[in-house]
Amino acid sequence: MLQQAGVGFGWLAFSALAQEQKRFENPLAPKMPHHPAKAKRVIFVFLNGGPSHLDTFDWKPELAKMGAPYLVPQFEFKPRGQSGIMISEAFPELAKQADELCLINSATTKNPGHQQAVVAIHTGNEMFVRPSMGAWVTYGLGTMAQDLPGFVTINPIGDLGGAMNYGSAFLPATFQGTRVSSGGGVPDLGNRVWAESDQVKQLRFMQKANRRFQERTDPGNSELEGVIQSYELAFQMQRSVPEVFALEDEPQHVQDLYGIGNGVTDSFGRSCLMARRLAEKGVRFIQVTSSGWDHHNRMKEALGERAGTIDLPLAGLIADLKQRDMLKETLIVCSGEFGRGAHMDNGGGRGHQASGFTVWMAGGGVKGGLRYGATDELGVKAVEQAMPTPDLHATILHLMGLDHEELTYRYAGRDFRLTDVAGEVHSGIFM
Amino acid sequence: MKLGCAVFGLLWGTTLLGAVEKVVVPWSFAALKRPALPQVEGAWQEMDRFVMEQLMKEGGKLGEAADRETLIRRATLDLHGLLPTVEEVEAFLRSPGSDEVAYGEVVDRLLKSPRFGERWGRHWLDVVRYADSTGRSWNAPFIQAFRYRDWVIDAFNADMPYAKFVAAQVAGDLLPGRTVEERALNVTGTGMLALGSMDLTALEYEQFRLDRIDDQIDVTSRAFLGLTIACARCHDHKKDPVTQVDYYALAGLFESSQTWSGTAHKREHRGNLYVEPEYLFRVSGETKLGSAMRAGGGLNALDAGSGTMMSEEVVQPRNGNEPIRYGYDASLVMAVTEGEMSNCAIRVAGDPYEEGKVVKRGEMAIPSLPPMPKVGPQESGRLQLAQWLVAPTHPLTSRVMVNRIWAHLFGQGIVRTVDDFGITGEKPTHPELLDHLAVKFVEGGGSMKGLIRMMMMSRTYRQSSERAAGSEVARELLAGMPLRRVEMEVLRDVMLQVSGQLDLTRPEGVQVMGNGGKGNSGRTRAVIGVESPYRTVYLPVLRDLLSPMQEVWDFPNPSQIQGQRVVTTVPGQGLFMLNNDFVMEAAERFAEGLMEVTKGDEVRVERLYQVLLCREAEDEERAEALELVAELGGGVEGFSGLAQMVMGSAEFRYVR
Repeated sequence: MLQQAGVGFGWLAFSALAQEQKRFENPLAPKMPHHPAKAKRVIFVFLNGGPSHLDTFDWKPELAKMGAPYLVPQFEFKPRGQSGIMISEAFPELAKQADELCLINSATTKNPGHQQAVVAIHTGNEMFVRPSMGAWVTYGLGTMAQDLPGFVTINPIGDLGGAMNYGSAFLPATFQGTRVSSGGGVPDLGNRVWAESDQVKQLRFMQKANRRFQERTDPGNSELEGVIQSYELAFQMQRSVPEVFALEDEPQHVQDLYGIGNGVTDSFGRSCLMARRLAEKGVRFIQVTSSGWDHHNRMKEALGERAGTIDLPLAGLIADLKQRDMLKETLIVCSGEFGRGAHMDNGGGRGHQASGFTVWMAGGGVKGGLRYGATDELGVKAVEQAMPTPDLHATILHLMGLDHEELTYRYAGRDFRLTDVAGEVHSGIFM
Repeated sequence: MKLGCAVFGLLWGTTLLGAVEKVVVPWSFAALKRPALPQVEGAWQEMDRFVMEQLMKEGGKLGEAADRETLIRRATLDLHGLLPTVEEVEAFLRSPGSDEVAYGEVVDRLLKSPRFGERWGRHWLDVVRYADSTGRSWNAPFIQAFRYRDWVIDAFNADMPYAKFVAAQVAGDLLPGRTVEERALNVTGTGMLALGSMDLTALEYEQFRLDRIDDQIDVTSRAFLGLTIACARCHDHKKDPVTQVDYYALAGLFESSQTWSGTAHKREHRGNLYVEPEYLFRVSGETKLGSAMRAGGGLNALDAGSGTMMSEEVVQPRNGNEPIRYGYDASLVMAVTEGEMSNCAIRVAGDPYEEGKVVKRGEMAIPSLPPMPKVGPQESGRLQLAQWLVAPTHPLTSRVMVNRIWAHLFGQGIVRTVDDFGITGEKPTHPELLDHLAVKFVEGGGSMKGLIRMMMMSRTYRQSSERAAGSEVARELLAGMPLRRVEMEVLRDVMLQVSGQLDLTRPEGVQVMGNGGKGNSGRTRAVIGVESPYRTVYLPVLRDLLSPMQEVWDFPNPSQIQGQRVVTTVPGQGLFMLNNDFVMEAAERFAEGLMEVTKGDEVRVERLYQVLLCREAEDEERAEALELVAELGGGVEGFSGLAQMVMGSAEFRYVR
């Protein structure tokens, strides 16, 4: 009977013992949230370098009237959509989705240094090595797709903390982000010698040995059950992972939506389409990264060029999720590590600013067409509904059905959380 | 699982009535007492009596003794992290002595081999967050960290008394030594304090400085005491009786010390180099150091050009595209030595610029722990800290270490939370056994080999791992030997070993390159990686740059103190065994060797089981194996496919 099992195996069904014993607890199995979730998954779009809010999503008419040493907004702002929220000409495509966007104009972070702020937005803590937000979410909720990693980060930055930004620190390594490039990236998916049919034979032999070993030595051992299951899943992943990254399977009109094939938008468009395909499969936390947003010089040209690479793909991502009825349960969060100041930097750009910047969200239970919080007249400091990093994290967790105070892990004698001792949920942005 | 006071009717917390308020101290602060030996029949070692008594109360009993094949495999994996050879297994099976004598000889042989320190030194390196780079934003390499690593390995091999082992890591620079070499080795021990994960680009230097002190307090208190004193940096400890005053009393010790890490904060460096050999400590008598290290550990390689390369001869790349390489200078080590004496001011809420009361260094007053010796005006106080830690009456030092050693042999500690003996940690499942072992450890002069031998000679350790029956509680109380998955190092080393690729020498010289940050010449890299033939303990451990092999097999995050590894079982491990080139290569080389030394497929299958699983193949297995070999086309290819699957099997990956 065992020999006939073939591809897909299903050894569990053959073992009466397996049903009696304590079930192996897969750490990535879906878990119940603390409260009903508005969003089932997160797509976190990280803009590395600190994009200017003053030239994009935070309309400051007073700044437009200022002369030197200030730098006036470099792009014209216009009211958009039915909501009429102001978005600049740097993002004309995204502006068409204005009624889906929730602009949080009052984000703040502690430290205006790239390294510290990047690590802080990813892990909540610039001083110590802590698990990343994606690791916390995956730890809290598991994932829906057992044949894919639970947390995937597409083309992450290699410096500024590097792997720390998708790491699991003291959480089990299972929860860390799997780094993929536009061409895949999950290690060991293919074999240089064996064809799939050979591997079926190999696995049949090994699983029989594993089952015999388990029954003879320690039938109640859930870890051994895990070993057996891990091979079954591994074998499935050899197919499912390349499938999910096969962007060429998408019809042309969908590829066009993301700007694939166009030199300017192709690379980021691929990342976004990959994100949608992962989301569709049930991956819990997906991060997409765009670099080059540190505009000390030539704001108009530099920002314009960068925005051109992501504007269409992001608008396409929102439209595509909407048409698949996935937007309402997919939370898109787009943020840099900080924003930029009102003064002109020596090269016609702007310097770093941690005291007020813009994060935008879409889908996943947040109100669209909303401008939430505010900076002061010149956009220098958050003055209304300020949202420091722990608040941002607490709010994202809340949308995912997680209470940021309850999501803890015991390490070194204390219960750690993503938000440490801070964090307030901003329910004002909820639908 | 909670085996709390309800089960055993014991009172864990002790309450001290202070003048004004009640302070709850953890169970582990109680004085060490020699417990009475339980009256139980059939024990092989005194420690068995405690295990057996506890099991009897739960209606369980120890399992059958393991057979010799199982025992030698278990002992060799536990002590060396390698498999016994077919010849070693056969010699043990044929040994005419009683089990007690023959097995005792095996244990003694294993303890004498330098492979022992390579295995057990790595256990300690997990505890002290060992790494060859700073991690964090810049991630510069520590070019001399390996000196400390080798010191740890050699200390285990030399069976350095635990008190000396502790003292050298806290205050090795202040310990007496008969010779120049001995003093140099003592200083090398303090490398532990200089290995922290630091943000070299932190904007505020004061923050950087205080973070480093915090790391030093954290590693010292958790590694040796199982106490989280670093929790009291910003406020009094929320659970344990440790105050902010205690924290800053300890901080003063490190503030009065000089840290030599070989890396520079951006405020300190010259010419944009974050690696700065001038910030390494120069020991005297460097030319003889290599030979001294060899005498201690019986190993080679340290004399490679030792003492000839000076620090300024950092090898520069020929052009800007090649990684920066470093020459080896045997006189330089990472260290902590006496610095400028000062006391540390409390930082209100941990804010580096908000100074409160200045605390006299060394004046810790943790209730019910012995007082620390007085610190003189011209002393940092690290020597006193070391004296305090290793005092035979200190209730934590010995309990914490015997528990760590226990956990490595039995899968989990008597106190499950091996790094936390405070209020928030778990209570011991066998409190009297823990004290029995701690007392024996102290009386045995702190011999780690002696303690390990005692545990391994016990009936408890020598049980079979076949655990068909018994309650959940009895299992947790060691009715039957638990199966333990081998660590990433063991898995890799054993695959190299069976395929004839393993190189047992120490790699020579500095095995990290780069200067940190970005760019071809700067980016930190290892010279030797997982594809090299060296034992895994000798491969550089780069923070935030762990190899996929390390990540998939739960190698601990080297920025975190982790005395007990997490074991996750995930599909990535399945993919690794099915497809990874390292595994494929090991299987292929093994099969090639098999074809050369044996003739006939049946004999080959027999040999394969003996080498990989240290036992004979059963009839059923032999038939299945031959079938697979044939299905895969027979010959080297067929056997390589078979060997790969046996290496991937649970039996191979577990110590049974």
